[in-house]
Amino acid sequence: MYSHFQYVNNMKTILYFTGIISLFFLFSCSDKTNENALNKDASLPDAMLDKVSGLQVINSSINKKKHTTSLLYGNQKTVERLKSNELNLQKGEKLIWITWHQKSDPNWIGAIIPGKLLSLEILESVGEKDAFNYQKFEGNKMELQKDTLGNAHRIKQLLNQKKANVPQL
Amino acid sequence: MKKPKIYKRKVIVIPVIILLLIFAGIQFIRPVITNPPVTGNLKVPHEVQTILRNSCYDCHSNETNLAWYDKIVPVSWLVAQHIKEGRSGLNFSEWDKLSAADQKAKLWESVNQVSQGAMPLQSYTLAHPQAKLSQKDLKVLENYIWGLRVNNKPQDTAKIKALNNQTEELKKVEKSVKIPKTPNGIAYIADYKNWGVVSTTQRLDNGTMRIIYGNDIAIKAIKDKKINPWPDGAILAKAAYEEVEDEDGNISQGAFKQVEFMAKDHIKYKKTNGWGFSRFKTTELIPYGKRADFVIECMNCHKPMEKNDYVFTLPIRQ
Repeated sequence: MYSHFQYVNNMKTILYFTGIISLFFLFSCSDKTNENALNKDASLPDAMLDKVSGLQVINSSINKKKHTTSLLYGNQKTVERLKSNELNLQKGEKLIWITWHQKSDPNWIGAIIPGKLLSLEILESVGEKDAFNYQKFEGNKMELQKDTLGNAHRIKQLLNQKKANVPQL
Repeated sequence: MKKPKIYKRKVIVIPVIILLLIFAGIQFIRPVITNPPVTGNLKVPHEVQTILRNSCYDCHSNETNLAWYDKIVPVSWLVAQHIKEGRSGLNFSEWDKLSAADQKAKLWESVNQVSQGAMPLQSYTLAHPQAKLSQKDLKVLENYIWGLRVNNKPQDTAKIKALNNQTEELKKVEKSVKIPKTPNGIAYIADYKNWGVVSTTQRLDNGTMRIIYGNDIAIKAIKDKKINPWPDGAILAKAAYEEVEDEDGNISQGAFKQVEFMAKDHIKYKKTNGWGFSRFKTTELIPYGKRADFVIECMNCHKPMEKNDYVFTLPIRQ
């Protein structure tokens, strides 16, 4: 009863549906993370992630001539120091300053966003009194900078930063 | 043997006649598309005006020019709807009804929509291919708005004064307890200042700089690279500031201008593409929008970012 003709027909149907179903899976399993929606240039390498977690944003700044933009973070101690207009690093403070090259925003004409990572600086008070630790990581790979020339100038700049206004509420 | 043939023909002919009659009948339920008076036309250079007239004016002005096929039902129903929505979002013939700042913002947004390929609508250009913009047309529009960008004045005393006044005010004012709410029922979230940062932007079109924050759910989604779509519960906050520039080109944050929120909930905010929009202006946090439907404005602007779950910001993993 089961003729060759029927067999071929059944095979055709099976193949057809297998095709459709596998196509369905092919599309539904495509990468949903869509990394295009992330700013990869500006992102920190995995090893440097979470450095700023727990810190608060102090301010954002731009250098129009160098085409760079920076974000300054600090801990609660830093926030308290800035309220009192004190310019010396206080015990228990931690500041992180990240700087990027600027690039055009592909989604908005006339908007400029962080581009390639330039540097990440950490200024931290250690132990008692005035002791502190300053580190600067540079480039997209975030390599620790050994040249200490110019550090004092940067530290002074860091401590001179003001906190941006935010609503009281 | 002849009978079935006639029968077959009837099977085809009768429904066709019925359809034709229905088609002819519905022509009488034609929507009225009128051209209300032009109260104040957009004033731009002739070259720019020509492009806008050719590509935008059919839906975004009171000088709609219908093709004969636009008037046939059911196409005309769709056309009428497009024109109604188009004029309510942007009407170059009633340009005088907008403030100078809003005029510039609207025009900038419009050119950005064209450059993102969101406008003119594909369904419109399919039927009206002459409305398509060439790369040259787009360049003309972009160059024009580029000329409208803000150039900071170094040591701008007005901006410095505004910042200092605001700083002093913030020291004085007693913390208010009443949480402001937008007309669509979204309350201000005071904690945004303690959230992680998603990105920053400098906007040359209006001379502002912004910090975009994300709540824990949003920051985790960025770290996990799962932001398309963003998970329910994710909230983004964008705080805008004036820019204060010194003689050396250093730009710092001036006075706080406003904070805007996008809260993701694909069920609760289904009607607004899964996002609850809100905006609070000045440090007094005055809710933006007169009626709940102010969100149409938000949605229209975010429409070109459909591929990025309606978010403009490209998050930075940090």
